[in-house]
Amino acid sequence: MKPTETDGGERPSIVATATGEEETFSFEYDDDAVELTHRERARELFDELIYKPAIVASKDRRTVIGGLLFFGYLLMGTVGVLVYPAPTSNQVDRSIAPFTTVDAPLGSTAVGEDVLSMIIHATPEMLQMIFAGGIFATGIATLIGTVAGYKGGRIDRAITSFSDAAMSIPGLPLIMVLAVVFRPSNPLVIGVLLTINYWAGLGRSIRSQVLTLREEPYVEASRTMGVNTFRILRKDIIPNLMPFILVNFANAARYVVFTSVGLYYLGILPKSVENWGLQLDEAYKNAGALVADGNLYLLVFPMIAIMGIALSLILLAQGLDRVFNPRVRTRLAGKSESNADDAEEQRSTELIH
Amino acid sequence: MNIRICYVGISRIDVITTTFIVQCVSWLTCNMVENDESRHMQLNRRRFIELSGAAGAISLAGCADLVSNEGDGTDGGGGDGSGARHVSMTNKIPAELQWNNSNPSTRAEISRRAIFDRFVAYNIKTGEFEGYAISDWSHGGNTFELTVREDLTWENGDDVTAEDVATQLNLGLKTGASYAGYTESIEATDDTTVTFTFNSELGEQIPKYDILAARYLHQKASEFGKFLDQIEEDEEAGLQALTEFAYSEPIASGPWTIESKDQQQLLLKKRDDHPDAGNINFDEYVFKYYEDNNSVYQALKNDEIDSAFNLYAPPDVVESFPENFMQVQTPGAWGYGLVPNHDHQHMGDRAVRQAIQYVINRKQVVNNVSAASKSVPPYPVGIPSSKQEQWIGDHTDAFDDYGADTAATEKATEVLENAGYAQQDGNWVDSDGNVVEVPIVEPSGWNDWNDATKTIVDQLSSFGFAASSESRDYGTLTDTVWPNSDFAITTGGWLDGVPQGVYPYFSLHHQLVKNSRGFSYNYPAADTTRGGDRGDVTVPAMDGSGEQTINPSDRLDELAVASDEATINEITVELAWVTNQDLPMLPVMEKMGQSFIDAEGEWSMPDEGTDSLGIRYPNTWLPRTGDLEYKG
Repeated sequence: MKPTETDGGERPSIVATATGEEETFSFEYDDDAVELTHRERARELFDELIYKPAIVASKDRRTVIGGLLFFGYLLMGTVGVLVYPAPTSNQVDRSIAPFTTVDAPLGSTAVGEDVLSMIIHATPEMLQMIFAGGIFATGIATLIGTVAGYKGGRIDRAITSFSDAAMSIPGLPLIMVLAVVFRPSNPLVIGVLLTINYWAGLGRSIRSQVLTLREEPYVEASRTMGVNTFRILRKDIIPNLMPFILVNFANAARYVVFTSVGLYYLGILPKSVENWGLQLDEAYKNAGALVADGNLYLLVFPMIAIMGIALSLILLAQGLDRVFNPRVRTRLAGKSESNADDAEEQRSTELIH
Repeated sequence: MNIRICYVGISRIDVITTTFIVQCVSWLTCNMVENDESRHMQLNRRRFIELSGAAGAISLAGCADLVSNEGDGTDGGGGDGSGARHVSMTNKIPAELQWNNSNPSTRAEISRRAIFDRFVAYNIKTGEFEGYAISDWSHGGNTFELTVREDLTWENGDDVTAEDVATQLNLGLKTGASYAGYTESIEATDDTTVTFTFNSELGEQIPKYDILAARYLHQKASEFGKFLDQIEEDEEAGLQALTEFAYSEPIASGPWTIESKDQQQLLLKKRDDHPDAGNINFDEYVFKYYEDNNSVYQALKNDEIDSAFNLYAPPDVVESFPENFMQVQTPGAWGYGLVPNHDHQHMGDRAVRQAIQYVINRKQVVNNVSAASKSVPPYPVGIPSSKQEQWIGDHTDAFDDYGADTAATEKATEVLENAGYAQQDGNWVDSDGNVVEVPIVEPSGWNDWNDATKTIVDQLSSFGFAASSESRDYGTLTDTVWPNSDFAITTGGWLDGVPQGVYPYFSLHHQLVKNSRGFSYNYPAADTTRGGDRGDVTVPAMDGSGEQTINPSDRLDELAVASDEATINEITVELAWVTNQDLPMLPVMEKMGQSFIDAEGEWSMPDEGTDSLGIRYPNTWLPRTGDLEYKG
């Protein structure tokens, strides 16, 4: 049982009531108790992981809008690509203006590609990049940050120096060089590549969080009980960092979106997959969209797609922060009257960007 | 601009990122557009030839050299033109320019056409050569004499002599210019006559195209003679010195000379002692720097410049230009094609090449890219579209047009099936079950080409080839990918470019034996520097009975020396037939060069359709003849 859970300590007395027997209060579990609480534990998990977050989330417009938006992109990237035909040249007439025909609702390019189709079919790869980049960046940062922060001493100094070095490498040029050398075509690889040194800054802030957490009494208790480091990190430290990590996951994802779009726009990443950046590039270079006013829609629609996903990630990051903030959560889930502004002021989670 | 828009609302780091990206854009553009052939200074002669050969490609592919527009305020001037200036564009940073044509690094493109006089003016409309700095020439079998224009002087007052011309041409001989293959010696026989002596007799047309056209009088003997001596003493060191010499303060032979240059613009001033100075009624010629085509579009749209010498602009963009701009289109004798690697498992198979050519709907490609500035070659042969009627017009029944405006998939299927290929799960596979892949390598940032490749990939994919495209930096292509045969199939110019490309000897030579872009495409008939061994090619006989074996290299040598029309025709048709049947390169489209000039605002131009517009580029040629005038 995680000592951090607020209701953890009450369980033995619940057990006593359920069995109807008088028992001496004890911190220890017996087998019966475990068996009896299976359903309750499921329920509790549901409460903790779904119900309460859902309540908190639903009270916050930002989370709702962000969530819906992101869900829209998920749909586009999964169902959308299955039901909407892929873009090819001459699938519709050339240079159709937007909102004139259902064949190409958002118009078509000079080579007769449906703009909507290009936007939809760029989504799955973008989502893959986001997840790969986000998981890689936050994963490495968490590992490095927690180990450095918790272990301290020589290990801390070594890891910190390493991440300082990584941080001092200018990220974008490094990515550009790697992209040119390796010519990655798999979106997962591209996602990882784009966050190749994003973890460093995040790792440092996680380390500083851990530095405070490691002094908490329950961590000290675990240490005294001889629990091994890995287990302490996994059971005591990281769960408390989750809000911070998830919020930064969303930020890392946004970073991946912008960087990938930028690098595709510049023609640095190979054109192996559809991407909104490629659309911008083609609109600017091939169609002269900034000069030929009639072609402006070729720039606007992919830009809306990019801004939409970025907006959804920003809103989600802000909303998630509230979901994970225990004080706000308890208040809202417990139906206590809470004022959103108050809650905001109490935000403890720090955003990286 | 647009990058910035998509970064709106993001934190400082993103702003920094954006700034960086914007800088990268310029950096990339510079590298892509300008230094294309500049990064290979370890020279040997072969490399040098490849470099000089690749030179024409840049501007032709839509990465035009650009100009700039500073003095809008001062643009006006007196009615007599004093103080008037013509503002044009360059895509190279003026401060970095140098004018040694033997040094491919930061070599000036458009401004050299203003600062130096051309040997002759070749008119692509009429096909005529008009004497200029070389006022006359005569062909005598194995000799060729050039006469230097009499009253011509260099900027410093020295007369332009035969010695100057001979020095420049001899440097070409040492560095492997195209005439080096058949020229024994070049001498100044008197003050105004330069005499070429050839290894053997040569037909009349070849030296004209090869020696006279597209050459400028730029290497004055007093400045460049030393390199010739140095090369005599130590070839390697001499060549190195020549190709590394940055001629940043050139001595002009043309009507304009450099007044100043900075990061933004190159300012030229009229030379009053030039024989044609009287025809020019404006004093200053400015080349403003624009880093890419889009910024030139913007400048034209805002009427910031008076001319753009060569600029690919799609119809929508052209429409956005003010009406006072005249668009002058001249055939490029150059255009987008596919160059297969003949050593490749599938691309080396004639059946696959023919199938690809059949499947490509050339008309659709042209319409997708820009019907206004591209055209469909009627027959895939090694002769430019405009000359096909003239040379193979009597034999068109025999020649295959591979479906110019349709995807001839039935023919493609037939050819492939006859060669043992079969369709499996929608994909074409060879007899061993290997899927036929068509990975097309193309230069990144060549907009028109990228659209063409995209269309072709879709056409081939829908037929069942596993087609894809991969963009590479142009420098990487010329440095490594092409010379190392590191491709299965790549995009490339299937003609030689103006003016040589207009004459079949050169265009056939380009396709069959020694292409000017350095593709090591391993065609058996090709030169060893292009991966071949000048071998034989066997194709079906033109009359339909059996086969015929031809050695293109030998036949081209015969064509070079042929002087009677019948022989020239016979060999040309025969070699065109080889290119049509064996497809050493796959022609797809041909380009029209686009120049834009203010014709109705402050400047007056000849009417559209006038023959003199056939001389490239109008904004540097027409002022010399008084046809482009400032009118206030």
